[in-house]
Amino acid sequence: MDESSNISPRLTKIKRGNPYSVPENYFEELPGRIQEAIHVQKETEPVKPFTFRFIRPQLAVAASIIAFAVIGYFGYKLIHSDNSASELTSGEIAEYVEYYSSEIEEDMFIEMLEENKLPEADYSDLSDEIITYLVDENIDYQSIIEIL
Amino acid sequence: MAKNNDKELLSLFRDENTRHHAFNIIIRKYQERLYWHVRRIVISHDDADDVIQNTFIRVWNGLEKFHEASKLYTWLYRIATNEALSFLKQYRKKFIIPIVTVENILENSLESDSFFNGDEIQMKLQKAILSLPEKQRLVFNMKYFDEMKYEEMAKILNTSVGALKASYHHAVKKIEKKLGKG
Repeated sequence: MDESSNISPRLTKIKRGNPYSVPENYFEELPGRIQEAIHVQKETEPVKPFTFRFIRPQLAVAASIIAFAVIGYFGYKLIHSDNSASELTSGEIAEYVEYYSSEIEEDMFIEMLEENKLPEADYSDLSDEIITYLVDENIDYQSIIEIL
Repeated sequence: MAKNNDKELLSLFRDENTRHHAFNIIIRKYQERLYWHVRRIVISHDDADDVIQNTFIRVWNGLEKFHEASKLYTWLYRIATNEALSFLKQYRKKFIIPIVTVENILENSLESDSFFNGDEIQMKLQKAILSLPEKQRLVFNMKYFDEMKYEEMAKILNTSVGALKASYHHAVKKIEKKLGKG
């Protein structure tokens, strides 16, 4: 009688037998069914070729080295890239200015223009040919001249 | 051959030529004890059959690496326990909203089990056991039905003897209370 008998008068009165049963010959057949399941498992297990199993660690090391080399190369290129303005097209510059125009101050622009002063415009030789063109195109050349 | 000696069985298992024979003896030696242990956890015979087969497949896959740090019997019992509890865990995952609990399902299995031969009071006892928390249920079954020593149980369940004694004590009190009702 175990130590629970004092606290469990009802429990101790119950027959301590196994109330469950199994189908007939269950335990006689079970070892065979288990061996069969193991056999099936072994047959369905994917067998890796010996050479692959042998060289797998070496392949992993080689792949790691290549990955590091590629990352290192592109990292170096990225850090040391000399993307100077001279390589940019005028379209790219215009796009840049348009995009960042709100951040560029007018004074800064004027300063830049002062530094790289363009030759004075000379409109004296505005030929008749040009004026005729502007009249033909219905453009008010007087106002253009005024602006300039 | 002294076929009941686990050490000899293990050395036979390690030999490729006698492996299947040794494993067959191991199954025959332990199948009943492990089956009844699992059956009390999962209740239905069909589920117990699945669990016990998975248990022995795991044993087959892992026995070569078994270094006899514990007794073979203890190791087998631990695998069977883990398999049975994993089985219930999978059941639990199916029911996100606990309208139907695993305990409800187990109770239904018990009521409709054609391989239950107990009388009314034994049915009442089984239902009372099912109402216990999982760990208490496990401890109660191992102590009450398998008559296992606390020291052995501690090795299988990886817990202290004191904790097991407390669990068993609580389990008995709850069952007694349940048996007293109606």
